Amino acid sequence: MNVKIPEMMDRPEVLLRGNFACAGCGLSIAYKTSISALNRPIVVIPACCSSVIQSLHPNVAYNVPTLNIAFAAHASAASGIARAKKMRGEDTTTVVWSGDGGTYDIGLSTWSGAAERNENIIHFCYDNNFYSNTGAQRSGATPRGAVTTTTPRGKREKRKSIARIMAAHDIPYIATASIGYLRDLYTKVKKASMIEGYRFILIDAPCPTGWNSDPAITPELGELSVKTGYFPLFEIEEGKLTFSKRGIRYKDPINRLSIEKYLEKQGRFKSMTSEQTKLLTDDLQYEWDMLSKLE
Amino acid sequence: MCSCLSRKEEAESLGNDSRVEVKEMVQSLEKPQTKLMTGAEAVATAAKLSRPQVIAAYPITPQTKIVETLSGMVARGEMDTEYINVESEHSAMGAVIGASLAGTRTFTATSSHGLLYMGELVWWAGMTRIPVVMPVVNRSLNPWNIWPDHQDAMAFRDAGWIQFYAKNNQEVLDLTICAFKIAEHHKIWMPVMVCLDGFILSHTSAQVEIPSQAIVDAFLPPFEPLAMLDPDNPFAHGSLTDSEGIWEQRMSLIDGFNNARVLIPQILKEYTDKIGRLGDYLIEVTGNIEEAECAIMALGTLGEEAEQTVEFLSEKNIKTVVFRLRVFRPFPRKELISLIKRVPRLLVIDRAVSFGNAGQLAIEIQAELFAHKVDVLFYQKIMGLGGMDVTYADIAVEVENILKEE
Ligand SMILES: Cc1ncc(C[n+]2csc(CCOP(=O)(O)OP(=O)(O)O)c2C)c(N)n1
Ligand code: SF4
Repeated sequence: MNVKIPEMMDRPEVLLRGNFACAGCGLSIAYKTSISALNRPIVVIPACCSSVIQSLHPNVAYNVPTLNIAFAAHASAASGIARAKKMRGEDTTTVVWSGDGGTYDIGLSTWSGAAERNENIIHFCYDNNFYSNTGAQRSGATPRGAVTTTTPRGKREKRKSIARIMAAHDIPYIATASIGYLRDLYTKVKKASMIEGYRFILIDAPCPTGWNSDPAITPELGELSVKTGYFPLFEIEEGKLTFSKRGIRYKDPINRLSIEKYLEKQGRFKSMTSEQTKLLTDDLQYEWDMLSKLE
Repeated sequence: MCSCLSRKEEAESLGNDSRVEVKEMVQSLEKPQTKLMTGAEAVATAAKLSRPQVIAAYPITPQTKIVETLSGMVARGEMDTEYINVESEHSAMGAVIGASLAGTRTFTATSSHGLLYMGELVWWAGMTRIPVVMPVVNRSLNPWNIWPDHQDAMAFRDAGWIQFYAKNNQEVLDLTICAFKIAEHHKIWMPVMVCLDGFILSHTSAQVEIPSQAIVDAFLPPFEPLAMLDPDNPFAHGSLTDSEGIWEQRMSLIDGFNNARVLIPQILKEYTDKIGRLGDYLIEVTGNIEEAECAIMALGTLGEEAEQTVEFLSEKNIKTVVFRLRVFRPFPRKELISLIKRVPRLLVIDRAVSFGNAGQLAIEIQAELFAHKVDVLFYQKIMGLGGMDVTYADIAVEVENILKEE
C-alpha cells in the first residue's frame, strides 16, 4: 500500500490550535497523523498526557468524539463502544489512544482481554518510554539506563517487548511506526483501518519535556531512533513479521548509526556509564534477534 | 426438537395440523406466567424482559447464575444483545460505560470482591452519570467466604448510585425492570444497583410472577440517549475539568438524587398500575404502627425476616411494626421521619458495619433523628455478618430485651 503526499496534506484537522501540548510534543504529531487517517473515529483516552492536552472542559481541542476513561479501562470501554455501534448499525472506527503506561503496565489486562476477544478496535500506543503526565516516572517501556524520577540512577531493567506480547495474541494486524517517518505511519494506519478485529500500532513519540531534549529536534529524534536501531519498524500479519521498507536496512548492525548519536541528544541518558550503554545495546540487538525469528 | 428454538418458533414449527394449539401457545405468552425461580433467575428474567443491548459481566459466586443464564439466552437468540465476556469486573464496568455512551441500554451484575475490583469504574459511572443497571448479589468480603451480608454494597453507598435492597425474588424481578426506567429517566440519568442477599435470595427458589414481554415493552420504551459519542457531533466526555466545573457537576448529581426522590415513587406506581403488585412506597410498613411499642428497621431479607417477628411477637402480645427500607439511595428521609415520629422505640438492624463507628443504616438514621429532633428511644444492633443466620426469633429476642431493659 502506498499513500500519496497530497492525500496526507488534505486530511482533516483533528487536533485544534490552543491545545495544551508542550512545544515539540511527539504524541501530538502521532495523534494528528493517525486519527486523521481514520473514517469516523471515536477515540477512547485513558489517563495520560493525551487527557491533558485536549484542554480544559468545556473547551476541547480534539475534533472527534472522545471518551475519557480511567487509566486501566481503555480497551474495555472501547469494546463497549464497538459493540454498541455494531448494535446500532453505525459505521464508526473505535480507537484506543493510550500512552506506554496504559499499554505496557496498568492496562495490560484490559487490552489482553479485548485482543483475545478480537474486538473491532484499533489500539494506538504512543510510546514516550515513561509516564510523562505524572512527571517522568519509569514505565515498562523505559529503556535500561534512562533516568526518570523513580530511577534516578538509570533504570536497571530492560524495556518490555510489547509488540511480541501483543503478537502472542495472534491479532490480525500489528505495526510499529515513528513520528520521524510520517508517511510510513499514515500508510500503516490506513492499512489497519481496512482490516477487521483488534489492531495494534506502536508509535515512537519523543517527549522533549521529559527526555530533556530540544523541542526543535523531535522529528529528528524520531528518525534517529530508527537509524540507530533503537526502534525497529515492522508489521506483523497472520503471525508473520515483515520489517518495513523505511527501517529494514537497520536490521544489520553495520548500517546503524552509533547509539550514542541518539543518546547524546537527550538529558535522560546524560549520566549513562559505558557499561549501561553496552547493556542497552545488547538489549536492542536481543530484540532485533527475537523479532527476526517471527519473519 | 432443537432446544435453540424460541417458544414462538417452536410453536410455528408444529405445522398446520396444530394451528389452534399454536395460536393458544402464542397468546399465552401475552399473559403473566407464574414460575418457581431463584433470585438469580429472577434477575436474568427481568434483564431479558428489559431488552439491554449490551451486557458485559464477569462471574463471581453467588452472581454466577445470572451471567450464565443471560449468556445462554443470548446464545440461543432469545435476546438481541451484544454479550461481552470481559476478563474482569473492572473491564465489565468499563465496557458498559463505553456502550452506554455509544447509545445503548446496558446491564451488568456482580458481587463482593467483584464489586470492589470494579470500584474505580463504579465511581466513574456514578460521577459521570451512566444509566446502567447492576444487580449486586450481596456477599461478605475477605477472608474467603461466600456468605451474605451488606458490606460490599455499603462500601459504595457514596458512589453516586441509586441503591435498592430487595426482600424476595418477586421484588428482585420487579425492581430490576423498574431500575432501567429509573436510571434512564432524563431527569435522573444515573446508575442503579439492585441489591439482593446472596444465597438467601440468589439461590433459593420461590414463586415469581413474570410479566409478558408486551406489557414490559409498554412500560419500558427503548433507550433514548441524552448524549452520545457520535462522529457527526463530536464532544469530549469526562475531559479535564477545573474546580468550578467539578463543583457544578457534583451539584447536578445532588439535584439528580433529589429528582429521583420524587420520581422513583411515580415510576414504581406506574409499574404497579401497568404490571401489578409492587406498590409505590420507598419504605414498606408491616404491622400496626398505631399500636406498636417498638419499630424494627432493616434492609433486604432481614427486613422480611422482621415481618415474621411482628406476627411471632403479637402472639406474645408484644406489638411491633417493621419499616423496611426498599431504597437506601436516595435516602428516604422525609418518609422515614414521618414514620418514626409515630413510634416510641426504634430498633435498627444492620448487616454491615462502618468499622470504627457503627452500622451504616443506624448512623444515618441517628443523623435524621437529631436533625428533626425526633423523640424516640433508639436502639441499634449489628446482625448476620458473614452470613450468620438471623431468624425472626433472634430479632424477637432483641425486641424483648429492649422492652425488659426499661
Ligand atoms: C489508577 C490510576 N493510577 C495512577 C494514576 C496516575 N497517572 C495518571 S497518568 C499516569 C501515567 C501515564 O503514563 P503513560 O500511559 O505512559 O502516558 P503519558 O503520561 O506518558 O502520556 C499515571 C501514573 C491514575 N490516573 N490512575
Ligand atoms: S510532557 Fe511530553 S508527551 Fe506530555 S505533552 Fe509534554 S511533550 Fe507531550
